Amino acid sequence: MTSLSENLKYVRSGIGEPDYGTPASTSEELVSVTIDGITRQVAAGTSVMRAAGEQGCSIPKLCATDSLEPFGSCRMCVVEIDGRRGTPASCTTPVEDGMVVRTQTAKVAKLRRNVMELYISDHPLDCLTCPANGDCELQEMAGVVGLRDVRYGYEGENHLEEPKDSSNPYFEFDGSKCIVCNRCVRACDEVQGTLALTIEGRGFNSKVSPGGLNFLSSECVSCGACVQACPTSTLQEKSVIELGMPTRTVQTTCAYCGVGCSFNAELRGDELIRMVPAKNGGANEGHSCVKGRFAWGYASHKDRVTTPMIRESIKDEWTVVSWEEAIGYAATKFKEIQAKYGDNSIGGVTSSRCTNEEIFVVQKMIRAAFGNNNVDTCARVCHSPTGFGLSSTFGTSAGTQDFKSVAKSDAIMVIGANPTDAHPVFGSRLKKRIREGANLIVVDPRKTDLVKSAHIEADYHLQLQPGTNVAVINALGHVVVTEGLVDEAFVNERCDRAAFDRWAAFIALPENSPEVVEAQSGVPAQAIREAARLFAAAKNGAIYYGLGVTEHSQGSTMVMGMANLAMATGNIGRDGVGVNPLRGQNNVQGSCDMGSFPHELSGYRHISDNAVREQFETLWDVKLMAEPGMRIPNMLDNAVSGEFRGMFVHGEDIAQSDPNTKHVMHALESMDLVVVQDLFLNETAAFAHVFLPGTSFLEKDGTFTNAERRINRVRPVMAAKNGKQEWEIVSELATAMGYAMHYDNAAQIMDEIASITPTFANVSFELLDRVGSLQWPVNEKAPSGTPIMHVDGFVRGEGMFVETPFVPTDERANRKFPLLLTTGRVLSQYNVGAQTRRTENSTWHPEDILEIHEADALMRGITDGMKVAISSRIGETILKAQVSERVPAGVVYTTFHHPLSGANVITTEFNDWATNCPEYKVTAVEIRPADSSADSVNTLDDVLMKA
Amino acid sequence: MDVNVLIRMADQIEKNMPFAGNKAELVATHLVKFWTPVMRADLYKEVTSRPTDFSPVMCEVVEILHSQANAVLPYGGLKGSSEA
Repeated sequence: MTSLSENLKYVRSGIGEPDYGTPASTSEELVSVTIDGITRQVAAGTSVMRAAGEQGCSIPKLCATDSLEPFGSCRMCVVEIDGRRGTPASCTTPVEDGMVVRTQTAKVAKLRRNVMELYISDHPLDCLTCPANGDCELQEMAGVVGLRDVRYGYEGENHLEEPKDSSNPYFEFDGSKCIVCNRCVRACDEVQGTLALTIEGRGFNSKVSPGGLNFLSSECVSCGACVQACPTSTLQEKSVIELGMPTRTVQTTCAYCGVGCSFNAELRGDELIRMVPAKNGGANEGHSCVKGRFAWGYASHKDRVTTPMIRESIKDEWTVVSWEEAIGYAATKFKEIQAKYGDNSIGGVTSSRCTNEEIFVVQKMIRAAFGNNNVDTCARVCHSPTGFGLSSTFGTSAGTQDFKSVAKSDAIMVIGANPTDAHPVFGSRLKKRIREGANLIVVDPRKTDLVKSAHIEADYHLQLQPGTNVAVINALGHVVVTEGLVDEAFVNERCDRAAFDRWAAFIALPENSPEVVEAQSGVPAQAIREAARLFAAAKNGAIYYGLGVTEHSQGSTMVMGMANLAMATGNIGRDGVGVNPLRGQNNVQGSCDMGSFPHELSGYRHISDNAVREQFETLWDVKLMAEPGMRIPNMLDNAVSGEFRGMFVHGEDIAQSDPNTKHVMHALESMDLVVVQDLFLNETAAFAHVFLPGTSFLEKDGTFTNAERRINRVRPVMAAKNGKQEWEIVSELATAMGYAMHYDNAAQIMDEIASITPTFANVSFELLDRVGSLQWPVNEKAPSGTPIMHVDGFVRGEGMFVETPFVPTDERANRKFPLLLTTGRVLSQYNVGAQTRRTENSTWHPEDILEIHEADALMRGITDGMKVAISSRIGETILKAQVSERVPAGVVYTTFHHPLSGANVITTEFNDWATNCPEYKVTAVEIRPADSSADSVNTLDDVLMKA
Repeated sequence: MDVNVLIRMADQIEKNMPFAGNKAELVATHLVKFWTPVMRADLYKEVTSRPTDFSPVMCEVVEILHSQANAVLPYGGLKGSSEA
């Protein structure tokens, strides 16, 4: 096949990205087609429009764009085909073998001009003052077809007075400029899957409508797909309206969730105008969500601190100092602490929001300059059980698939995850597959949008009680084993047979039957049986899961339970199957890969492995401790008891994100030195003595690794506002502590990572810049990366079945605390909200809300919108109640995006048995209407005072 | 570190340890792999000071830990068990 043309015109979806009008065909069959005298081999199923575009011969178009299926409504793309009558639309006509097409004839030219004349007769002629001037397909096409006059005049009935809808904080809808091409409606349907838009009315009265009053009050999720698809200025980013068209672009990676979308950052000079999802992004393929697309303004928010600061006591005011003074102060203090309390009295936390390169140097600083292994990462509180569970069963600490894989799944089980809110771009892929007919099983205490929303309905919603995941996964396994649904060939060929036999005997026990589990979990036995049969019978069954799996006292056990089910049903090692963690933050995978855990070095190799450790010692020219260091909860516990005195907190807000806030704050205020490196003075910084300003993702140079193990480049879009890259700051701190560390650039750090990490062996910035992205392992065996893991065999050799007895959590509902609180995210906010709260996203979610079932509300005299006090045995906080059908009786739900809510004031010290991942998802609570003093709660300290 | 926290953690590991084999050895291996030496030593001290308050498995665990205190970590005992 010929390569895609570099010269293709008719571009709007981002600066410089070609638009071939229709999606690429996936057919492997080739046909011969002649277009404008050039004969080429083209994949069967390719549209004439795309085939022409691929050879550099652009056909005019308006309703076509290559992210959407062909529609054939605008009649601009007509062509002549030998042997065919009339002038077929090239977008809806697939190539055929031997076809001869002529795209530029007098006949089609006249037709196109006449069509364009009609469009322009009902369109404002304000091109020079239009925000889309220079980036408008209608404007460009009018030029292409040679329109010089509109014979009908402009006085007739028209839509030029259509009102604007400016309700959405990020984009505007100007109905006067709409040509009713349907691209926005189809983008909402096909790409996003929300179906919020429609064409209202018929004929001349047809117009785009979001339903309801306006865009803001509609079902629209502000993903931006409609704005991107619009060929005119009808749907336009407000930033473009205000600032003008961008003039240059830098491709980079979003810093929100673990999907890791690629974006073209479009700028005028150094001013960021908009972020447009990149069509060549491996994870997102041109789609985005409201966070990545629009919520980047926090990077230049007035709260941003860009100068280093120090203070002797946390009761003192901050003093702005030079970098040298701040780093020198921190280094001296750390050394003094170690001299007084021992080498192990300090440690640090790496951040999943930072790049692989930044994380690598932080853990290196701790191991080499601090001289201990007291390094941990925020993955401790989210996906640490994923690593333990998947490496125990499969042999590696990562999900098995790429995101594209879901398009081949026939039965999809989503457990403890809410991808339409928390991983929206993957959620859209998943919904698309469901609309195509795949079956869906949702295992969740809450009715998420996947359970039922527009054109989506789960076949089974196993609405279990929080804390009973393992019982339910065992019951599913029980059905598979006892009803003869095991894929024996897969098990015999790929798995440890003796381990399988042990597991099969265990899982067949009556205690794991759906009928017994029904009493524990509240899930009807029949539903479990039918769901298990559905999953086992599917050609391709895939499991996707989130923190609703991991953040439990049996999080690691549950991960192994899912791995057991996938292996027993033969669903590992090919497209459409697998066990897939939906990682919370942008670089959770990377932070783990980079050796952030206290017991292992990069590439998941234990610190006690002499051969591995010696490699690092040689490379780093330092002796490393051979024993595991402290995990975050160990550090905090030891801080309270006075043995741990100093901490480097890299881009995390543990005071807000970690459980049992009171305990965390007590630990932080007990330390002699807390160094925070962040964009903002967050809740943790309230306990800091040194503040080192960080860089936003728009300023970083490095890589993120997403949930599908995809290593993506993060490129500096603008100069660092603090004047330094974070790896420079960390290197200077290490050097000031006596361990010389220096890099000229981030590429050198990646080269060091690659030199010592087998799964990254062939990775370099140069290669990434050349190929776009790579999924590890990337080494001699897999120079182009590894989209699907365990294809020919498990990383550990044979798949390991592990018995997973259900051990109920110690956190139980009782008479004093009769309800179970579980937590999650909403679409518009992100984690502790440090970024999204500083954007217009708070329009949709200005405060955290407590969802409560009607029966529980009624019993307590609680009504919708009422302030309520939520108390656990740990503490109490105040939230606004929302009576909701999403949660069952006995369960309440909230988010943790706002520090004021203090959701973690009430979460407990219980955690996963293997990894200490906190049990955020189960807290026994009681709710009561809040008294009038609740109104005075305005700081987290106030909340704590009430705890 | 509060020894009660260590005891709760160790007890939870014993209760949940899913792998096939000698439970005391598996728990001990887990502690060697993921706990700091100080945490292990503190647990040993606590369990041996009042053994009747602990399960026979936990008593055996701390004996294994004690015997390995200066030995090379049995790397490979839980091959591939990571946390990431």
